[in-house]
Amino acid sequence: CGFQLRGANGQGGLPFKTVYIGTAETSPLGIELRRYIRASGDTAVVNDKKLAQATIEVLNEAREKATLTLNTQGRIREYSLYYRVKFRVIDEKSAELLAPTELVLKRDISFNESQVIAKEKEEEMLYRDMQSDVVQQILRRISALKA
Amino acid sequence: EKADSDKPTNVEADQMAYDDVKQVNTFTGNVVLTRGTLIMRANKLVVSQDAAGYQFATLYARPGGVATFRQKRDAGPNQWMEGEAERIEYDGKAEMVKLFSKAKMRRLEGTKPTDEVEGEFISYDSRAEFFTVNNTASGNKPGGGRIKAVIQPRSESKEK
Amino acid sequence: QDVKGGNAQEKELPATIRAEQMTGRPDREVFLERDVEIIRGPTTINADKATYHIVEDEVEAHGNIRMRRFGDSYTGEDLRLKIEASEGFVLKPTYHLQRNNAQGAAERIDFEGEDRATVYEGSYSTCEGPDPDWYLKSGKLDLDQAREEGVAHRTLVYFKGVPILAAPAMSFPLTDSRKSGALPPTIGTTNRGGLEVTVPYYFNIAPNRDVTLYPKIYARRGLQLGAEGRYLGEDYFGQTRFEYLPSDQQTKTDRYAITSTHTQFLAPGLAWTWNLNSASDDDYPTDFSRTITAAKQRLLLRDTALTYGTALWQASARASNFQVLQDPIVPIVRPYDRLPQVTFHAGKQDVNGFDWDVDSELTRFWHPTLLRGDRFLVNPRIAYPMIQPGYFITPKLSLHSTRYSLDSRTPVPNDNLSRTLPTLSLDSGLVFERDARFFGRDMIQTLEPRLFYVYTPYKDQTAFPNFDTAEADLSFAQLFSENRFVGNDRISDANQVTAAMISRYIEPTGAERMRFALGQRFYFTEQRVTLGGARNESRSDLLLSAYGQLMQGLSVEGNVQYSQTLNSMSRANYGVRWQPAPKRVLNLQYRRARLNNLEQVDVSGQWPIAERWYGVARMNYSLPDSKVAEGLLGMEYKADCWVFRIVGQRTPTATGLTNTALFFQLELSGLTRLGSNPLEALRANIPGYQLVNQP
Repeated sequence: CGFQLRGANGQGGLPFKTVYIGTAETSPLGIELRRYIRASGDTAVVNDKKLAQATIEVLNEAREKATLTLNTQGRIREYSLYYRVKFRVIDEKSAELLAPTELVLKRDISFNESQVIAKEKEEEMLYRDMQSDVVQQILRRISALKA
Repeated sequence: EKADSDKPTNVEADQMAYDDVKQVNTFTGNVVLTRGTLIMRANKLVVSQDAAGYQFATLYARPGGVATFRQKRDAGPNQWMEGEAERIEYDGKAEMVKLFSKAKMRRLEGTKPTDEVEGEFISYDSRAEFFTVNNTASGNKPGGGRIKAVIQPRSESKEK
Repeated sequence: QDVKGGNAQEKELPATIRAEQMTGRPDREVFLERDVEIIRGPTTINADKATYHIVEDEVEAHGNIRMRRFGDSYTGEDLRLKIEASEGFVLKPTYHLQRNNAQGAAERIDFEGEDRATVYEGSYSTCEGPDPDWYLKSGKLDLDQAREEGVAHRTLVYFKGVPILAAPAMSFPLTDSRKSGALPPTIGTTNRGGLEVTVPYYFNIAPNRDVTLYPKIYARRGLQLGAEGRYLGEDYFGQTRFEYLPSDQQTKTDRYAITSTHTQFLAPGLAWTWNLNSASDDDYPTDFSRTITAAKQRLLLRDTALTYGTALWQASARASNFQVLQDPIVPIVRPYDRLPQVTFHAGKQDVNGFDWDVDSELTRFWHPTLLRGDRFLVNPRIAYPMIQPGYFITPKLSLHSTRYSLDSRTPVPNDNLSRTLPTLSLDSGLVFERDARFFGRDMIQTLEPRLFYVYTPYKDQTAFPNFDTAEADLSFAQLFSENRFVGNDRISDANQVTAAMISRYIEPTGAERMRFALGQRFYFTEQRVTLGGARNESRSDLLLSAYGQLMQGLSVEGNVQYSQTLNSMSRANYGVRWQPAPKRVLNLQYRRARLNNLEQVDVSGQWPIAERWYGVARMNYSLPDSKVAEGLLGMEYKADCWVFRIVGQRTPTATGLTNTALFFQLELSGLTRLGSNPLEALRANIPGYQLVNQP
């Protein structure tokens, strides 16, 4: 049916030999981006922006929470969690290879006052899941760039 | 300039004709009249003199050309006044210059023009230093087109 | 348009003068007659008659005067103006400011410098045309284009000829940048508070600091002052909102609510934050459903934390509890306080292929009636991820060790319980791709099978307390986590494998256009650790999900959680959003969850219904109660210089109690700051809603 393993024809990786991640050292998104690129082998993550063929710059990262459903007693029964990341890719001369792009991901979570602390941890799990999803989507967009 | 009025006038031209009866002198062709700092150029110059010795001159430009005059002003060092028109009338008695059709008058500081006036008729009373500009040669006709003038800001006004 | 403030070169600029007649004395003044035009730098003056005093650079003009300067234009009868200094006056003027398209007439305008003018006995309006829909009449109106602010004294605001607002003084922005000024007034009525009038006022104290005041009059309660302060400093930022209603006429008590968040960076990596919410009494959410604080819900978090982090490790100490706004009919169990909770996390990635990290947490749980005690846990983890574009395999080993020491007062047999459980997991997946077409466009379609095996031995935890643990919603995130529970009081025994298949359509740019996913977990052994009743299923609910954009402006979302054992839907929601153009959006959603006995249909939208009229609506219909849980209906009329809104809203606030509200709002663009719409309900309730008076 025409399917073949991704990367079998040599593509699928990032079109750069060296990449710099433009986030704070402690940023979980930056750490996961670095981890994923390094694990997939053929692109090196450098710590010095000037040595990198391309820099992934995270312009904005925001977590939002909106009430999704109220029951008839006025109690919140579902929230929508949003995770927004705006990023762009520039080359060593700061020319834009990928214009600022905003990814907005959403996960719904049920809520009940009796489990409020547990729900805090569940929200954390969903935000981490969205973060991994954003990492995949960022890398997808970058691998679509021609070198 | 005031001092010009008691300077001798001399004129150069290709031809000169003198009409004794009316005491009118007519010069034609590359006429240049100089008198102290005043210099006038035209294609034809008609000069007459009244009994009291005041001179009246009319300069005519070549067709399509202009007659010009240039004179130093009392108003400060290196201040000049220039004018041009198809016909210029100079009244020595009233010390009045009148420029008719396509008239332009410029004041200069050295060679830099400060003020400039254009119109169909400009009259300039050099003694009272008062000028009038009309939009037609025969005087002021409403709707008869506009006069243009460019006035540079006064340097004294800045130091004031 | 000429650039303002070019004072330096303006001194050298000549004055170009045209007229039908000109007399004068060079260097002194020029008298001009008929069809006069004087141009100097950015200023152009036309008049019937004028005198230009060259030395003073001053124009005196009479008879149908027209003046243009930096795009602003004036007319008048008599004018006297020092052009370069821009000082002087014009009598019987009309004016038009280019920046915010404002216009008006007056007895006299004084020009005081390039950017400042004072309009006496004049009018001001941003409406086009000779008779503006609204205008402001003022004895003295100062327009300061440098500070982009207008201040009107002794003002009267007319709307369609009717005076609607009088004020001794009023400031308003000349541009839509952040300037102090009134916000659109809102008048309305609610079934809880009666007539309600508020005219918020915005103070732009500094570029990084502003305050908005919300004075509000409740007919049946009294005067309430609301305020929102926002600040952003070099190493701190935060926001505080509070409402205070002294001696509420209905309850004879002071009513207040506060929401305050703050972050202070004490040193690099060291931050102190607080998130404090409080309300005066339990009925606050029902009586003040349109509060600007968090007191809409009944659990108000009070939390303060000190966090320190480096790339290698992070630590935090936090104290946190909740104020419960009790609803006696459906009581809320008071959550445990965490006084304190100390966490330590460390981790290093790619240590020759291995990722290790460790989580540890010491929490002292406190509760007035239930258990009290400390819980200490350590959770080291190590993984070896092997990732390639086409596949990934991630084996992972973790250890979860917990020790409780409970307060001797509580009747639990052995008061120090402990538990250490290892967990082994193996996550693996393949990524297949092919070219495909989706709704007529070339795409890459992926097929991503994934298998996730987890093994955790069983340990009887029935005697263990439950401070912060619950069974998580079944979601794709939860399907691929090792513990069926969220929280640290229960570690689910596991000998299970999760199978999932994801298929995405990827645009040539790499953007994900559409995603289909299905997943299920298969249990090889009985799930013996439970919170509710015992459960022995061989497989979890089946999860199906699809979401994305079918076409430009049309996006869909569908999630189903199907229980094969009960042969019914445990949870389902389907949604479609159609947004063909700005200010046109329709949302349709069906949500169903057996967990909280929820079944709701939600329709919301914003649509132009007639020339300049926009309809706004939302209806959330609860099927089990067969009544509208939440409703909102609104109309917005957008004229060229004002927007009128009328919004009716019905929100449930407690068991059997709803708050119905009807609000009018008049936004005079240019007079009130743009953008902020106190009826936040529109933005919160209608996904995709856009302000009508914004481009």
